[in-house]
Amino acid sequence: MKKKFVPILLFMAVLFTLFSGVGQAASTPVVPKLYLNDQLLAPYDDPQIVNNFTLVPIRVVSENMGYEVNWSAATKTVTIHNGQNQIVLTIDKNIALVNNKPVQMDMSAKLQKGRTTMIPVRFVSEQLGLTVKWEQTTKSVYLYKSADPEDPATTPDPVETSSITSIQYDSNFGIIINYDGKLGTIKPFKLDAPKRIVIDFPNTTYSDVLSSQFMGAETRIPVADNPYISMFRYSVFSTNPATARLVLDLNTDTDADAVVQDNGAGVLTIGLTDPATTTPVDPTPPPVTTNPGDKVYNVVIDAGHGGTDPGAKSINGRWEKEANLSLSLKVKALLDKEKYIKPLLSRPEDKFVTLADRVTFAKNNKADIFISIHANSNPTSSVTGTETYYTRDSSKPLATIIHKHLVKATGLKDRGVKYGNLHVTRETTMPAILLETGFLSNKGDSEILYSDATQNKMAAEIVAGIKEYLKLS
Amino acid sequence: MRKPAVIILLFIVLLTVAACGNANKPDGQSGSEGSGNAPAPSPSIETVAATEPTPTPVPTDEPTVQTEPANPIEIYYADTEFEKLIAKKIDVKSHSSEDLIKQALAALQQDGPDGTVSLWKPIPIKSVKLENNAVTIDIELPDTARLGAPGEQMLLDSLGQTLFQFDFVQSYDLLVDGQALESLMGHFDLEHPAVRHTAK
Repeated sequence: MKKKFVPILLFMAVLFTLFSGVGQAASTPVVPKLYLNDQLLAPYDDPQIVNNFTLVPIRVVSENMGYEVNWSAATKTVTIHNGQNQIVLTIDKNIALVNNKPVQMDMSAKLQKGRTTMIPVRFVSEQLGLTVKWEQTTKSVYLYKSADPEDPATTPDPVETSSITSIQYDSNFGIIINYDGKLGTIKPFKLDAPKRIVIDFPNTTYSDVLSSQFMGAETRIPVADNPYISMFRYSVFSTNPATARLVLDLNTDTDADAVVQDNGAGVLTIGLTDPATTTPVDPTPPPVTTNPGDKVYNVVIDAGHGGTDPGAKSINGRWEKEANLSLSLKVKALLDKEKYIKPLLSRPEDKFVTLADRVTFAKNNKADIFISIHANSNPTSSVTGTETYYTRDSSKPLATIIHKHLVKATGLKDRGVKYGNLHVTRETTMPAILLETGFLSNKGDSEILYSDATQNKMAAEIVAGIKEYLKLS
Repeated sequence: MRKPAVIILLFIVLLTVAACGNANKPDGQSGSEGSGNAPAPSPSIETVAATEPTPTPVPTDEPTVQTEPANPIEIYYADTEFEKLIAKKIDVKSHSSEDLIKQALAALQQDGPDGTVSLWKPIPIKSVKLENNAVTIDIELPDTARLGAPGEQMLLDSLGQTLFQFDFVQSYDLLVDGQALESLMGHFDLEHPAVRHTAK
């Protein structure tokens, strides 16, 4: 890791890139790197990029991901099973069958050198429930497969324990759960007869107060005014490992999906929505609306400081934490309107959150982007301007784009995109940046940073930058 | 992971080699990292008032009482734009290694040369201890002394550079009211302790 020739090579690579002619770019095909759960895979045949899509040998699916793969030479089809889903790909055909439903793909499976089946890695992985990330700078595909619950060999996640302190129904939000500690990943599932949604909380107990209110094995609370559910009930599902279970009983002849949102600060809401549209089985290719590339990006907005850490003091007597939160809330409100973006606040209120917890929050929420919002300070009150920090190379494109927009909004001196070994931008695993919007120690900067109008402008430009980075129109 | 750091470091080394005719800096200054939590923090370090042609002697680590020889030591301050550290040479007479550290920290809280700021000025130092080459510093942190990311970086770097110029200092532990905090000002890690990096 400390090898010195690596940076030298890198440095020279940059130089060469700067001076190389455009014509040379396509001479040698780039072999993309493939990682599964951060482990570099070395498939027998190299992955390749075709028209901006990465194809990998089918053996990656069977040998590395561990799913069942069958090949039919007669029909030139590959069938992949993962226990829940079945995907059928036909060589050179851009319609896949997912659970017997035709789905359009942007890139078909291909036969390479007449023997190796190459499959579009993003499409297949996402259909199998893996998370896929492409890192442009290193030409790397990162696949993340969450541990299979049935597989006893998989190592458990670091145990995060929590204790539920209250479970309440709210006609606007659905179920609101307050808890202490940290909740692990929560995945609702449905059971029939009677139709119900079951939500298990791993490594979770009930607070003493809540336990004392239990009536028998489970607490049942009828709900009168909800279009989806008639009752919810909760119980201790298991004591080893401690698991709490919440069951939502659906109204007769009603189907619904539960949407779990954890704000990371001890409040979890479970909303109810119409079920994800299950289009009837139709043999004709679906209309263009089915776009397998439609992905909802999780964007963490991290308001700097909070609670006992007020951040820097402004020349007007106000504190940095206030400006950071205010801007973060505005960014979130704008992102809420975006169809393909799910904003998450790591500090939704005036509360102290450790740097480590902010990172954990982003990781747990599988954030695609992490943006920390801060304001600067300097004992020399004339110092002014906007700057943006990153730590990992992979975050630099995001830093450059957001910074360009932010400077436009603040109208302050452009202090540039800078490297800094900051905890939250270093320890996160997704592109992560930290914005220092301006200097609270400077009169002009300070007036701008606390002005509602500029905050709105900054929020709008940050959102524009996020969309530009994610290539969302 | 720390490639940018190493690249900057590389630059510093190159620049230092190119620019330093009078290579009279003691070990662990020009290229080494200021503190455990702050790799490649200092794009460059300028030495102000480097009038002496002789190499700076490294203070001896004799714990015994010395007969007060005047030792030139360097105190590091941030430039006003928080882009680099600027060193100022001062002469101190110390009777022990611990006393030398105390005097260096006291100097850190004084105003530096023109164009610099003393970020340690508003931060009261409650106690300083040197034990087995490890410095423990307990401070108070008034909320008004809090800075943004670059300020915190400079603050930690100026401390690291100042302390690690002494060969007998292998680590330092910065505590706030006796507490080992995760971060001093909410941007960078505060290592407990921060150890000397021998990245050369």
